[in-house]
Amino acid sequence: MDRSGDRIIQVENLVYSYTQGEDEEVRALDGINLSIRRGEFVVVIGRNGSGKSTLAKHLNALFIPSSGLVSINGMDTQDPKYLWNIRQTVGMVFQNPDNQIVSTTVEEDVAFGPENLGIPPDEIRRRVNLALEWVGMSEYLRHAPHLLSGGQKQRVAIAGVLAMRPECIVLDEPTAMLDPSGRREVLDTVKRLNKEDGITVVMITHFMSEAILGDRVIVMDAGKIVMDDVPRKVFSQVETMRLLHLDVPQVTRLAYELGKCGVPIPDDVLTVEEFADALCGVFPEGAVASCGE
Amino acid sequence: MSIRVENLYHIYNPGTPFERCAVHNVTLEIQDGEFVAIIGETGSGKSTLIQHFNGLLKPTQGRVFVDGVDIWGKGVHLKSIRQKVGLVFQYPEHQLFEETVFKDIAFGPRNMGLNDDEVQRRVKQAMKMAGLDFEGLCDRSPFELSGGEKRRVAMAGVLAMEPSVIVLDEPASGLDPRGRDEVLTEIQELHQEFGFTVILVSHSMEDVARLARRVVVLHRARLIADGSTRDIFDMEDVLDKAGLEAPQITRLMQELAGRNMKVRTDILTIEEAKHEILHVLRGEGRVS
Repeated sequence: MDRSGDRIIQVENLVYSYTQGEDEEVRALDGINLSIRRGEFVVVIGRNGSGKSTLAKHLNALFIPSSGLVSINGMDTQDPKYLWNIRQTVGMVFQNPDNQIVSTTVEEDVAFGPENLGIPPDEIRRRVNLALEWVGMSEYLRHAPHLLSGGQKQRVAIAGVLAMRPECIVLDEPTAMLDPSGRREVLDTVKRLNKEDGITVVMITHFMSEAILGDRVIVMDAGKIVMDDVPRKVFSQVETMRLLHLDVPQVTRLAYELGKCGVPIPDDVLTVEEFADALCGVFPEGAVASCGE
Repeated sequence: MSIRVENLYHIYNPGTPFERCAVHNVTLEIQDGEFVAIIGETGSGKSTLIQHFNGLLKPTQGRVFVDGVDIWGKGVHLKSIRQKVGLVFQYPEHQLFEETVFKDIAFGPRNMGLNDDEVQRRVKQAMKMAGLDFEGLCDRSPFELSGGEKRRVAMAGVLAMEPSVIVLDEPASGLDPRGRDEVLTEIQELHQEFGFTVILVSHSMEDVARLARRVVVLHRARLIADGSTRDIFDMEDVLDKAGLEAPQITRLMQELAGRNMKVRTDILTIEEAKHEILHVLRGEGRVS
């Protein structure tokens, strides 16, 4: 195993195709090159059908490339002898928490993965406790998962993945079915796991407010990577994003619109605070003036 | 068509250890032709409440009136109420099942015992309302359509029943920004062009701000606020209590006002924010 270098995920010329109907070949992924460093927080966006989820499923060998290479810590996903090692290195969290919960108590649910690895009971208990602590759900140990809120269920699902001690977690629209506070719970958890515990995160989302949390945003379209940059650079391209059927944060769009009217606000503002600072910076006097105080 | 609920309570599993009050003493009247959004956290009672609007759920206590008729009164046919008040559930495309788009949309009208011509007319009309091309799509399998199209086929299935009120539970969730936009534009047209009374349940405050004229806020089974969209999103304390947040653009205007810029804070859309900021800057002679 090649653990040298800090690349955890390496994707080279990845093509994934399947046949539809008689003999029409569909290329869901069409020549993807991507390398993700240990500890990165990468967000993947793109319209429905752009290939995001298909790519995500290649990262823990749920899908195997039609051609090209996906390697996790130097382990080729096409080599069956690495399968379990790869699945343990990269954990997946899906959109619907209800489809991911298998047991009648939170504790058993989180223990499900490690039990299947044949880990001794003491160690399982330790891992379960720690994983629930990580996602802030310790007090729910003996609760029935189906009675939890959406955000809580999704955090239990994340704990289940964490109990496998992965180095990387891949989340496919983990907040799509949650309300605003559930969304916040999950995002705070993911951010903390990345920043404090150094877990590599790959997160797919349709919410641009979530995409700005990443260190890096990958934009996919028609099975290809069409942009790969820091969020600020990606979202400042308002027109390109529109052509790709994607949104930008509301304040970014507003800065762009005002720019067209001659108000020189930088077009790469992403948050309310940044916009307000920028506007106050551009107009430091008069009505706007007192704003800097 | 108006909907009125009076002192409505709904208790799940009464008398058991799992007893839970999902709707607590809600009184609410929605007039004909309104566009109302119902917002609140998961578990605040939104879905339970809307299922009372067409009699899918029976109140534990309290009354429900559709067009002035007590729907649980004697001699009222719930079937006719359900035809008048159409409910589009979350992820309605999961309910698609037929081989073709036409058959799927025709399912409801056929069950009403309508003749072929009338069924055909209704399917055509419903597809038009949902922004779907009849000729191009009617013979296609609903399962090979895009996410946004599937959802609109499912909506057309409800529209083909020719309801006057349409209740939508999270109609845009899980769609990409373009699909979202398509579905929301369609809903706006149903209200503006076809005159439907629309009741929208959504977690997206941006969507609510863009579409609804009136917002009802639920929190822990109770109705805690009911007012114009502009007023509600300007009430930070209410939204906070309900675990919600105003759209980013509204929060921006509040932030600017907090920094002593003389802007209105009851702003709902990017367009409005642009005009307001330009207005203030021009007033100061800073931008021509």
